[in-house]
Amino acid sequence: VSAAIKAPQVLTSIILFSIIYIFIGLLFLLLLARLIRRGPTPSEGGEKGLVEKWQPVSLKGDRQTKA
Amino acid sequence: MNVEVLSRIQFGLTISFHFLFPPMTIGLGVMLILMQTLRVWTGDPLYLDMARFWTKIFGLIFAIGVATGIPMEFQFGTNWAHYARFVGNIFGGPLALEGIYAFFLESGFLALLLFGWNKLGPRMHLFSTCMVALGAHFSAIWILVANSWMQTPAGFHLARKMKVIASGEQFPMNAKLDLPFTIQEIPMPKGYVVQPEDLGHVRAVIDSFREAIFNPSTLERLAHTILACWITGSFLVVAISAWWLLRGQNVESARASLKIALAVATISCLLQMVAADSTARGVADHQPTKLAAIEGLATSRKEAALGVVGMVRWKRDAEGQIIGVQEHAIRIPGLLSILVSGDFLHPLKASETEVKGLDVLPPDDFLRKRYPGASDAELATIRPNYWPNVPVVFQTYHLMIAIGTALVGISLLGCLLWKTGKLWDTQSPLIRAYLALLVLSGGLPPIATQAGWFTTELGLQPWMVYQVLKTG
Repeated sequence: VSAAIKAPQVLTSIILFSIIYIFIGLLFLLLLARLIRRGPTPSEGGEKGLVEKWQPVSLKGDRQTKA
Repeated sequence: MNVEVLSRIQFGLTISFHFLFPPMTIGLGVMLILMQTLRVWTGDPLYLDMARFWTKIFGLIFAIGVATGIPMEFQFGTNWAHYARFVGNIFGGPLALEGIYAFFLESGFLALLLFGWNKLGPRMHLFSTCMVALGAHFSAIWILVANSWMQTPAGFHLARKMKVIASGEQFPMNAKLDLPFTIQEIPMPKGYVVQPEDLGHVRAVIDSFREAIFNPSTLERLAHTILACWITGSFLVVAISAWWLLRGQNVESARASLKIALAVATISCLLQMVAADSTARGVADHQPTKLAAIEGLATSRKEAALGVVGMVRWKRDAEGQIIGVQEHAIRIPGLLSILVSGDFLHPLKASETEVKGLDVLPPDDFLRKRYPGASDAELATIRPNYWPNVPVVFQTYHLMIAIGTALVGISLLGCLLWKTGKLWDTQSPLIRAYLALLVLSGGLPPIATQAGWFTTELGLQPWMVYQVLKTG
């Protein structure tokens, strides 16, 4: 272990890390719970409004057949 | 407690908390690829909504994962400077590669993934998702390479800094010389164990990057860990989807998410059985003391039984010195010998395989090199100093195995109910009970990954780098 550090310094950092991690853990659970409660929000107009004009891969064969 | 123990607690705390999150992001990355692929393939807006939702969850976990990972890098400098110097020549390559390939790839494309919904086409968005997932996997790969080198070091030699005068005579670094000298690194004999007084003067120098990267345990540990990540991510999706189904909320998305996640979870769990077996056999080959410790095997034996559940306690002499272990476990006869041999086609013959116990580990020749002239009785007294904390690693290992087995059963049952169509009958009390079990199962993989990580690291004790550098 590095010679420059002292036990009280490490002990203090452990206590502070614990406090921060409890806070981060609770924040994570809170935000996760909020996202889960809201659930997926239906996108208006589906894929419309996207930059690229595209067709699903599964329908490409149909287009070629029709052509 | 001294500064060394406190520093170890500090690093253990920070890495344990951090290690909760990366497995989720790696697993969720795979789930996102599948959802985005289905979106591109079918054009169904359902998959677009699903991908948007799970990307938000991914972003949240990713942010927490990055925030909790940063302190560890600083701890290498603040608390473990000697260790960082000792392994710097080995770890420099893999950790730089992690920074270049993984972080750049992941961070760059993460912005496109999170904010590109209305700016990128579905195919480009799918590509961004793949790159983010690939970056997350790369991070794990390079960290695991470094960690595997600590378990089974290869492709290196030890070198000591010495003061060398013109005649070629060598002096230790603390020698005061009046003559002009140069500082040179002198290679050390193979098998040398670094002593406390060597710290700062001795370091590991890479000979072969390929051998260091592909050290004997890298590939099997990589497969084991990546599959554990996929299981963690997929069970997170399973749990949340089951929760929605129980509440009758977002039913369409919940069904589609549950199908994808159950499929990934089941495949990953089944593959994990193969990967875990391979990892355990690697431990038997390269770290037999760890295997004896995780199975609480006091003595070498043929037809060695595999522990299912139980307890292992230290056996001490009248003066309180550790002289062995006492096993109290329910065991399956012969199974450990069969698993170690790997010969599943001839179980009777395989059960004759001898598994070494803690009474002969580490072996006499290893100890005699370090304690020349020691008698057999003295070696027996020294030997326990080279054992990990057997009672603890026995429990962490068996906790991981118990959870892994439970997850295989839960996922297979889920696939059966899905195939028969009963899984969607959410009015049935039995199905509701199963969905409640799925909700709870979301918390099991993180416990298993933590238990597995503790087994790996505590099982490596008293070594920091196996048979090269001790922890204290």
